[in-house]
Amino acid sequence: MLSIDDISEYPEKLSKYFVVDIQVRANDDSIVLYIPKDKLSDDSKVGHVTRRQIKQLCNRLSNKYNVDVQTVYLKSRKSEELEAGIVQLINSRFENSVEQLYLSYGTENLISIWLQPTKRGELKKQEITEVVDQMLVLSGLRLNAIHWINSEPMLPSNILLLKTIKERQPIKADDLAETFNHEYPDTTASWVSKSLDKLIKKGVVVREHPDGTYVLTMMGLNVVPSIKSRNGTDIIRVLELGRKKW
Amino acid sequence: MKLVGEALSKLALEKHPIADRNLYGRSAFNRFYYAAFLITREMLAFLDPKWKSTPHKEIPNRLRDTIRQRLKKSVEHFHRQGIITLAEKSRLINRLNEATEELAEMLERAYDARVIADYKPEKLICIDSNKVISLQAHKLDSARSWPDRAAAYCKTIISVWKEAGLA
Repeated sequence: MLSIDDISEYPEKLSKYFVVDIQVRANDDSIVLYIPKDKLSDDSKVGHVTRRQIKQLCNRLSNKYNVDVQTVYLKSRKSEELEAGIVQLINSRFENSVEQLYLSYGTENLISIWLQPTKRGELKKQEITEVVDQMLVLSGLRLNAIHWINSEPMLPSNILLLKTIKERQPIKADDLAETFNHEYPDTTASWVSKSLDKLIKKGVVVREHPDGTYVLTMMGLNVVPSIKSRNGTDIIRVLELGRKKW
Repeated sequence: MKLVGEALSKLALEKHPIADRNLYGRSAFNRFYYAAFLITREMLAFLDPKWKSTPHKEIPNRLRDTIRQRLKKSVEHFHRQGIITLAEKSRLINRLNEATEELAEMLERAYDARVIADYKPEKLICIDSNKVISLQAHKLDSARSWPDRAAAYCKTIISVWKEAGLA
């Protein structure tokens, strides 16, 4: 069985790739390389390593030792402290507005945040975003995006509009808005009508008279693919037709 | 699972013999891993029922490769047809890439901790003066957040999947 002592590249050669530790896992016959996440970079530059370089290293080691090679990216203490700091700051400034917050330390000092606001925080998304942005800038970092857990997006995409029309056509704008209300609470009949007007101009939807119902054109039907699964538009349409009949 | 992990974490800090505290602590890592794994598996089953039985070690590859490819194919199709703009296409791809990468990396860390906890009994739990429990490079405080983190990343992935018309 392979042991760490057999891996001649460790520690010297692997230190060039910022591998700080190595383990041999007997249960799944693999070598595990531990690399600090803050050493990753999109482009090759001094003091960093790219994912591509790591992938090549893994392939080389895998071929040489005939085992699987895994990487474990270690989160830095700085990242954990920053995460705790942002939660404290927002909760003290906006009266416990954050329920959960997870920070993702990307390459090039880009930070993404997953944030679940409380009901109070839900109303202050804009202010929270501004404060987080400022705090990151002061720490020499940049905000990439905030992903609001449980509350995004507020409106359905064009793709989803087309898919739903295909499943339920002919359908009125009011009924279409109603189907989205639960998952996309900002959806209104007037917003749906405006979006459909744009889709009519693209030639994928047509408004039927005198009912004011919407259906897909032939081009629209071709645009929305039919996925072979229980969630496929054709299956859902058949079920929907059955439901209407009964 | 998460509840059991929490209870085991508390037991690891109580006045039990050190050997017992070691067992409680390493079992807590195991439970937190499984809690995150089950949340992820449920998400995979939602995206495609065939993916429900993806083996533990394969999940990061599934997240980074198959899922991204399927989404990319779908949004590129809708972009070519003029249904979504380039900005919308990029936004969906970036959101999915970020969430899948974070989840994959977290599961790799969690799986590694769970394997050490279950298969390397010679590696003992360390408890420092601040009552921070760790197992090699993994801290139990971080492990505690695995299930909630997994749930957050899975919600983003499902949301993008739906927006792209794939569910």
